[in-house]
Amino acid sequence: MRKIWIFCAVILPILAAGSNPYEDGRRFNYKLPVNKVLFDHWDRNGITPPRHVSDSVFLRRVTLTLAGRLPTASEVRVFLSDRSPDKRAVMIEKILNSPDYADMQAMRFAAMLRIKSEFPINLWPNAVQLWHRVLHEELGRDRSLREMFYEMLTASGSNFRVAHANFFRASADRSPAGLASMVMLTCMGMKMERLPEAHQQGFAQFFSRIRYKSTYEWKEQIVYTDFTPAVVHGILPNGLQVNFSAPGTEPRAVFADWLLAEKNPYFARAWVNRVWSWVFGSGISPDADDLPQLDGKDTRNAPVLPAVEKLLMAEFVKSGYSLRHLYRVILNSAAFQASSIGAGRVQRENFAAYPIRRLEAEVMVDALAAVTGQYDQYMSVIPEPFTFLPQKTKAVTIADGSISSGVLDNFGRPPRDSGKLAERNTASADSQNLYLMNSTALDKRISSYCRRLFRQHRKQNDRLNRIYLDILSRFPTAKERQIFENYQKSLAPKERYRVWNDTVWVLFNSKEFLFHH
Amino acid sequence: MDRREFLKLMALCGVYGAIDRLSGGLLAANAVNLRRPAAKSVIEIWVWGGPSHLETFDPKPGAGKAYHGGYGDIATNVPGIRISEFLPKLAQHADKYSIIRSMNHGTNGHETATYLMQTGRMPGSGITYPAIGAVIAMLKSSSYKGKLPPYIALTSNKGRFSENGFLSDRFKPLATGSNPNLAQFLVDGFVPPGGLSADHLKKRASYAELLDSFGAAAGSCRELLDFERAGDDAKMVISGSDAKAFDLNLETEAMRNRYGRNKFGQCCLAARRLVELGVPYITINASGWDTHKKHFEAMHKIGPELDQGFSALLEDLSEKKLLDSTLIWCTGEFGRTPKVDYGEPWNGGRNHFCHCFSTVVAGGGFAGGRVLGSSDACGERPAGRPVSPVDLLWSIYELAGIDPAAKLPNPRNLDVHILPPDGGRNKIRELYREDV
Repeated sequence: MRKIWIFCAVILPILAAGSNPYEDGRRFNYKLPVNKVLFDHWDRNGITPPRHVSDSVFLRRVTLTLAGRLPTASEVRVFLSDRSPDKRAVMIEKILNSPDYADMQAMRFAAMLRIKSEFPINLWPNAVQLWHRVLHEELGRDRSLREMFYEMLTASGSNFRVAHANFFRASADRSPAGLASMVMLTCMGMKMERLPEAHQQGFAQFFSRIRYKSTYEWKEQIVYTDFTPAVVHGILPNGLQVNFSAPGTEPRAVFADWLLAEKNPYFARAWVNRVWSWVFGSGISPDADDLPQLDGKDTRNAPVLPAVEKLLMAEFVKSGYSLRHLYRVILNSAAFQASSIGAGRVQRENFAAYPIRRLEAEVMVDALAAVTGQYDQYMSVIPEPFTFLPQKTKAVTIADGSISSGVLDNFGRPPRDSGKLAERNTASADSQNLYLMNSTALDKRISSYCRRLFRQHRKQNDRLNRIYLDILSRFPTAKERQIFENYQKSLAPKERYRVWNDTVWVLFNSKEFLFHH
Repeated sequence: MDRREFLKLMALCGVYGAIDRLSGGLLAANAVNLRRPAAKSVIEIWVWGGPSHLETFDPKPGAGKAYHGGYGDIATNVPGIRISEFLPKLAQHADKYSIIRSMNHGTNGHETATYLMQTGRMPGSGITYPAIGAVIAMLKSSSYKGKLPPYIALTSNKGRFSENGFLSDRFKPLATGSNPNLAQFLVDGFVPPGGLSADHLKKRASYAELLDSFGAAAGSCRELLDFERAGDDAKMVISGSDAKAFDLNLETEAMRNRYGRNKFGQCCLAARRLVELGVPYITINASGWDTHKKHFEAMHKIGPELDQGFSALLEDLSEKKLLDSTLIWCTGEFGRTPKVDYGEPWNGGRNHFCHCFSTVVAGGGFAGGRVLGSSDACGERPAGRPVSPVDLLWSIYELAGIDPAAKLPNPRNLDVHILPPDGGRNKIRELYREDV
């Protein structure tokens, strides 16, 4: 059996190499512990192992995943000409330490934590800005998620001064049950509604002493704990009863201590699935918003790669709950460096092919802006005071979920109402294609891009290379050059200049540009 | 089977088919028994910010200058109904609409009041409910055959909340952007950039197919098939004629002038063109009405615009025999404080006021020339027959042929009703036509 997959994984791709720009026929690094576990899973389940993705697709993929942007033309050139054997691992490290990484992570956290000024969360602008800025800084220096969440779960103080005190404000439903449900989703990736009714009520008690009060400052709010003991016990999500009648007991801290203990699997499992979902579009348990109970009886939404989940959880805890480390292990794995093309359903379901899915709204809008040099203007007359974001603001960096644009909404930017991963809509819709095919605004941007292209490059070949590098992060193939030339010849002489605009239009409308692949 | 056939099949048995069948089934199962055809389209005139009821449909000439600020009322073409002197044209069409003068709810914040007026619910349940426009767009989508989206916002969204709530993004309003009062009403994506011949577009499309290296290599998967289907739908819009509804230059100069050469007026005209196409729900989000400061100065601009646009819409729909099948409702999320605040920094302003305000309904099964409820001498509290947001929404749904007590099908399988099922007790039956 082993020989067969070695044949499939190694020999076949070598035979096929060069036939497309998406694979390179090279071998995976089988020595990595995560790859051992992955190949073992594929082997035991009779699943055709993946083929190795090409360098150019890898660079595009890793830059989109970690930095939320396309690699620039010069980044592609440098990476493709780099001959060092560990260049992929080095590139992962480089992007993990770049400022763009913090931007992209802060966006993911802002969706998860429901950071928006307006309805139904109503954090209001000052609190939104503060919390987003602090998260951005902490993610940029890879603060331990255990520390960060301990602080969120126990913080008290002003929403304008103590950033993480906004954690318990960022919920549409601030009743104890509403907060408990929010905590369970955010910290454990689970739905509280799946617990028995009495258990739910017992869990809600941990958040029954949280209070809010306003000040004379407009929209300022103090989050605090009422220590008057009213309720004396709660039930933890695993069913354990806890008494907190002792004076001065902070039930939130009791819960945080339980959740963040090294032996507690819930927190690490939630993070492994969430990060996996950010990278691949679905979790190891496919629905990372609704992970199964750990009582051995819940068979719903079972992990597809249980051994990988276990390994990643151990790595995460061992690294001191480092988000960056979790990304590092996943991105170096064969699942991430697998080709996306020509795979069957079973292969896709088992992550033996990288999942094809539409780019996130913000990432796509930023990609169009970065390539053409023309950015959208983001403003909001609500929340007051009126807000105008600076020119050339990247959509990925917008702190406030209440500030959006028609295009971002059209492409499924999450409304940040519930914090669920499923809020992000990456389904296709004809309104999106209408924008890409038929938008006057985009048409103008394509023209302006072509003018710049003409100034920068004299030779036809250089221009075509540049378009491909800018938009698809690779060089055109010989066949594509031929198609380009044929099209150019087919145009009437006075229309021939259109070949450039049309090529850019075609690539902006292509699956290869619009999809993670 | 080629790709196109395959996609057709997918559309038939796929998710979209299922949703359409589901909503069609629901309409059939829970349709209201009306003796007349249900309203086909709804136009919502959303007077964003909260219009003063005293300067629109509930003037208080007897309340003293501290309240009416020196502005009076005028007679209408219906004996006994008087409205503000800011609305002389609407006064000539009072037989076509009815006024509710006792609207009220308990919330003075824009965002919460908007949510309440649009969904019939107070926030806080942890679920964001869809606005009435999204619900009607969904439930009417099986009978609507047009190529434009079923819910269109002229020209921007309300922006306070995600109007499709937990429903599919397909029922989010399409905000047209641009301005219909410009030389060209450029609805991005729908109105083509221009300059390219049909022949060239064809050539470019086949170039795109040849250059689709990734698509050829990738093999089939659901995500790519969905994308191709969406692309085919988009091409139908581009090659079809529905988007011409946005081309107001196809109207005569006289017609355009009749609606008023300003953004609001031309939005009303665009709404009429969309109604002619059968678009189920259109909302005009009027702006400029949050008049905390210098209220009366502002009224001299926005009052006449509302007056001309709204009255032309009523008259035009009526002449075209479309008013019977088109339901119009015009309201703000609340009214404005009846007592004028002449102090600094307001200098003659009015603030948010939820305890009593006016809403106007017309067409689609609503009778004209009636007044429901009344306010006290100063317009500060309802004096009779108070009407809540749910009472109003209930009647709009009902006249659109939808039973608001029915379950609302949704992709998240939430067990919810269109409106709280006990909400129909005080629906505004008094304003229904006799043949309903």
